[in-house]
Amino acid sequence: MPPSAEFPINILGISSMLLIISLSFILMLKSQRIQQLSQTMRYLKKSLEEMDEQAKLIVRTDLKLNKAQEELDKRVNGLYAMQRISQELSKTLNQDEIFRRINQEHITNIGFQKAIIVAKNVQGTLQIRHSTGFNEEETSYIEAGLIEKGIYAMVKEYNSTFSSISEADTLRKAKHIITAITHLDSFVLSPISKKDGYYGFILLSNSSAETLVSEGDEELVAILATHIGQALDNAELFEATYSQHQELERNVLARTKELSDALNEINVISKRKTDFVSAVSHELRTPLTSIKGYASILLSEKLGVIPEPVKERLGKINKHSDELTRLVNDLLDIARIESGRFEMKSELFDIRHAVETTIDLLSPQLKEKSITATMNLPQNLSLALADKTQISRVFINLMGNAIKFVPEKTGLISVSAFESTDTIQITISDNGIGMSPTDTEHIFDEFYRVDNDINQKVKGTGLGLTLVKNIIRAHKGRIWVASRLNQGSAFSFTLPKAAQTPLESAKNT
Amino acid sequence: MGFKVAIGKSQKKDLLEAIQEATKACFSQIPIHEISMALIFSSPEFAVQSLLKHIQPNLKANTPLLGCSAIHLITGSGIQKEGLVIVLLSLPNTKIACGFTDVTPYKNAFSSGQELGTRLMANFQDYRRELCLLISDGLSEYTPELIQGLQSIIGRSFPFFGGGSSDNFEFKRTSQYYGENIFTKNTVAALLGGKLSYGIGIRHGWKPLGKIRTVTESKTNILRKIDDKKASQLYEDYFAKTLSELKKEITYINVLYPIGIYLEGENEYLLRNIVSLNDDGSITTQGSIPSGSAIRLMISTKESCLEAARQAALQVQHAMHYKKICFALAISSASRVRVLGRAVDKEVKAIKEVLGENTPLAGFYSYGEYAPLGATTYHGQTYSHNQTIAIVGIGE
Repeated sequence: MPPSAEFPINILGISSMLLIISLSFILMLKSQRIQQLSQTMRYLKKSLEEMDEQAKLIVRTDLKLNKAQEELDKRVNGLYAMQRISQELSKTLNQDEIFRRINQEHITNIGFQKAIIVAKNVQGTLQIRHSTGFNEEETSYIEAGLIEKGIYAMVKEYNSTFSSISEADTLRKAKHIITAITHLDSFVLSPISKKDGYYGFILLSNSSAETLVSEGDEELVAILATHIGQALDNAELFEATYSQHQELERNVLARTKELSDALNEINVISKRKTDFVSAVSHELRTPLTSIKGYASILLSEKLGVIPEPVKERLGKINKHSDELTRLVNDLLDIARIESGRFEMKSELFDIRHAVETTIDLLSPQLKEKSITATMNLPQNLSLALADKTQISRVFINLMGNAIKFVPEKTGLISVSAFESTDTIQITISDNGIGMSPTDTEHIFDEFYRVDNDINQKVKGTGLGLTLVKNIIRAHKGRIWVASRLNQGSAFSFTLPKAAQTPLESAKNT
Repeated sequence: MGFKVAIGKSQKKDLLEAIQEATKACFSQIPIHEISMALIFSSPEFAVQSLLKHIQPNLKANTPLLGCSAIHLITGSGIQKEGLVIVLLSLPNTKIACGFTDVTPYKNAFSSGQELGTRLMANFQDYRRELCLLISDGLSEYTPELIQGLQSIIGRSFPFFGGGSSDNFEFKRTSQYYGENIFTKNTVAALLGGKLSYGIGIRHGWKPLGKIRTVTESKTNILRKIDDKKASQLYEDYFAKTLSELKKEITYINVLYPIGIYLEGENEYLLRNIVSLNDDGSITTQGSIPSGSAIRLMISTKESCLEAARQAALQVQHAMHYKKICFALAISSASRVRVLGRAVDKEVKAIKEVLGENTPLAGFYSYGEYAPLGATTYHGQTYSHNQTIAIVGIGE
């Protein structure tokens, strides 16, 4: 082989060698890269698997959290609903109304769909007092079933809230019966107690199997049962109080009627008495006039001289006849005023003038006992509206009494007056022997005479103050007395004030 | 003559009193001949014939009336737990066509949807169709199929908006209102066209958790295998519970931790509620999950739910180019009532914070929401959603 031919072969060989070497080198590098990549892939796959595991943990935790959140939401809603039910129940005080007021909305809001309340009615018969979510047919079927199987007594015995998820062995039978009768798989039952003990029970349930009962539901239903119990207690208390109140009212009405009947009777009797007194007085006056007339004729000796002793007796007949006439007149006046037959005149009446006249009239008696009578009337005292004659009798009567009971020489009688918008109040006070409280209470009664030394000596009818009282009342005034034993008395009365005429006003200014 | 809206509502317990209060509040605001459509949402207790019998006479003959029963109602003043809401709309330049069909397993839901679609389209040739409002029995598993039937007639990318009627979490019976009729297993719809501007927002607020899994075997809404294991294993693993334990709790767990389907280009995963866990380990879902879907377990918080409501409202505003919204219809999942608990009222507040205090607002809490997906990959195709809050804003 010529060297010229060998040379290219050598070059080719060397090049191939180099190519193989470099290719091997690249291959080595690539396989290293592949190894690296496959390792990264393995890592990535592992990470992904691990991340998926983490995702599982996340999902499980999230599910739990969601359930907890939902339970919490349910509780919060339940409590809000409970508050509303509570308010609703507290608005009524009628036991039947309490059961009527619980409605579908309340039951839904506390997280249930169906409800029944079993309790005894007023007659003591067990029955379903409330039912939500059941039709009439279902309700009566459940009522019969629950009563027949003795659930009422079982709940009483267990005496605590339980539900379809309660695990106590003692409840197995009760739970089985409830489910069999009501077809409810998921329920909560709570006894309702009142102050006087076990009353009945409430059963709440979810119709959809998805919403299972939780322990929180038991607490909620227990609270509801307590609220119902309290509402029932309140209603009962109210009913008791109410019936007591009614009884009391009936009694008051009966007593009032008795009193009113008695008053009517008294009025009738009083009228009869007045009529009787009036009739009798009239009948007495005629013979009295004759007696007095004949006595006067005899005394005038027109029928012949009469011996002194006879004259003396005739004088006494005359005097007693006069007293009797006065008595009869007083009685007649009282009767007339009381019966309303006596009409008071309404005249302008000057009090100052009346007092002065009275003092003047009584001056012999005042002088006899050396008594000081003073008049303490305000300047410009208004005129009163009164019957002049009758009020003069009042002044004479009251001042006469005062003279009678004040001591000689140191006796003081004072007349004062005080003016208000519509009335004038006149007070006649003295420093006489006064009266006890018992006497002041009865002093205006007919024929009442205070038992004291003076009254024992001086004769009186006990009609004077009664007459005075009747006269003042007939003027629409008031009369009263303030008195202390041994210190004196003050008789006050009021009279209507006359409206001031322009002339009067001018005079006053 | 422009867009008018009047909303009447009542929380009274007595049906007749409630109707009186609600009608009094809204019927005086719009003359009877101007009312184009009425929407009525009521609590399940009011889903009785006399409800519509008393409202219908206030309307001109043939005025479309649609509505449904719902666990809670949405009004501008917050959540209403009972009573009714009446919405009267006057859309003078909008053409409306209405129809209903039953959605039962006895009838093929897809062909029912097609029939309904044909009926809605019958008088619509001359108008540009804009939006279809849809209310369906929230307890039916067949609504997604029905929507597909509708889409085959009206258009795959045509926007449908609505929700499933609901009851008081009893999952027994829901009602749909149509004219004077009260249905229990139907779909009622109103096709709107002509001059109408609207914007849709839909969000849920759930976030994915754990690793992505692949659906390896499924048939429409029955999920048989995930990562070649029985489908129920997903929940058994995550919650460390046996299948029988899970079956008792699944309605509760499902609300909090639904399945999310990953959708390319979408902001959020598409949620699927679980209807039941089956003894063979398969999972029946509300709405289908195609084989090959990438799925994850989803989790949320109250805050993320409320943020979703705000985001949905923002989406509406954005879609409407920040023009005036004359009326907003909000359909929120009944599951959100459970998740939000006592904070449920805050959802309405969150919407109002965005849309403004005075934007007329009404709606209801639903079993399932229907609204289009946003990403271009899905061409605005409407899906059945779960756990979302869907809002449609309507303007002139």
